[in-house]
Amino acid sequence: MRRIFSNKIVIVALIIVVLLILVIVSHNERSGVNSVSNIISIPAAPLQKAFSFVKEKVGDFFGYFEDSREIRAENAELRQRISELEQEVLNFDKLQKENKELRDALNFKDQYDEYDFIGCSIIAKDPGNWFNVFTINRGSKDDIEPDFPVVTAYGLVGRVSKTDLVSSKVVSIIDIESTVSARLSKSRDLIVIRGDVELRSKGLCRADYIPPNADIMPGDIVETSGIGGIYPKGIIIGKVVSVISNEGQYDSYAIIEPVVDFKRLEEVLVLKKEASGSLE
Amino acid sequence: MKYRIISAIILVFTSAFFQSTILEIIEIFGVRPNLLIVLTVIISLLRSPVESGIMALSFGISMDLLMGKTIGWYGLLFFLVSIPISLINEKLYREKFLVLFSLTFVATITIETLFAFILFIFKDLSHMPYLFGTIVLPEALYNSILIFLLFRPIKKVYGLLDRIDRRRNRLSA
Repeated sequence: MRRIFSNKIVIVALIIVVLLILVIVSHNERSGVNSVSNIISIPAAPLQKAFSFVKEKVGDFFGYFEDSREIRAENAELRQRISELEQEVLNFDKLQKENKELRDALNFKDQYDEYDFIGCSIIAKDPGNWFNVFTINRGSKDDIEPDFPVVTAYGLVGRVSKTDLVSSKVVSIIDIESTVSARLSKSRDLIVIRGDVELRSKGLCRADYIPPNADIMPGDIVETSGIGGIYPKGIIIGKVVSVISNEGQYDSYAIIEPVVDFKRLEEVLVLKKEASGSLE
Repeated sequence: MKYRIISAIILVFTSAFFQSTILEIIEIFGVRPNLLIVLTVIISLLRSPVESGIMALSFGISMDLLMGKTIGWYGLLFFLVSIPISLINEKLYREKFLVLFSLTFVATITIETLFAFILFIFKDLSHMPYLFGTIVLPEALYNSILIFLLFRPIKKVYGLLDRIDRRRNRLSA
């Protein structure tokens, strides 16, 4: 036995076998083996937080000088806009009251009522060049679990793929391994939004499985369909930039521009479904 | 030995932290260099196969853990690239421009092409030429330049650790 383990080739082969077993076991996102990532994430999280804070402050400092000229022009424009908005606010108050009355009358339940919003900061981006995954500053100790949807005020960002104790990994919708069941807001046709190898570098994704008779054109809004059980229905994903028609029945596809700017994303919200007990 | 282990752990953690944060700033055309591949090549050039293999495994697994995807692929690829380099390192002129450049270039091309192959083997391998041109090749060039900045400092650190070890061995003898 001792002689076998003193053979270098046997040791190398053994390491390769162990690594291949690790690959197979860790392939499932919910596998317990993935908790070994705490070895890196726990000590790295405070450093990553500190770095993202410093980066933001440095960016703000230089941005201040760059923006000063633009700000003057914007200021004049905004003054004009304020007066328009003041008028709109008056109308909005009236509409809000009407809306509340109608909701009460219909006993309408808001689709997001059953979700808690957990605010998170992005503390690190994907370390390589292959994926569009980022790390957020909350993990399993904040009750975050894999497959929780991640959004911003504008729309869908992606979903939580793995959770460590103090941080989590989020797979964005432009990642090559991401798939989201979606719907065209106008025609209600069902489509599938996927990350694309060539489009992801431009911050875009593609829509597949477009029905042959679907009414789809550039500018159409795409939202989550609610099918699949991960993303709630009605979250805005983006808009159609162009439609590429092919002859096959489901061969057409569309290029989608997400509403979220992934290059400038700093803060996100994780949607956590409330426990059924607390709904009662 | 104790210093060696502590310094190896510090090196792995620091490089993992740099890879996931600071290197984002120096991305060119959306491609960032891979510090962990560069360090694997440097250590494989300077140290024994056993030490290189352990360090390569640590760097590779760190990369896997930082990515949050399947654990083990990078660990395996880093390990397999490190072993042949460390076996021939004494026959190489380690500080020559061409040796450093070509080894880093070939190591990056090997690791990243195989990783892309693994990634797309069950999906669509038709993307491979595009990925090679837009990710693998620029990253290989980037890493091959980065090694010139890091080779001497890392060599100095290992030289210092060797001196500490020798002094301690002499004292204990």
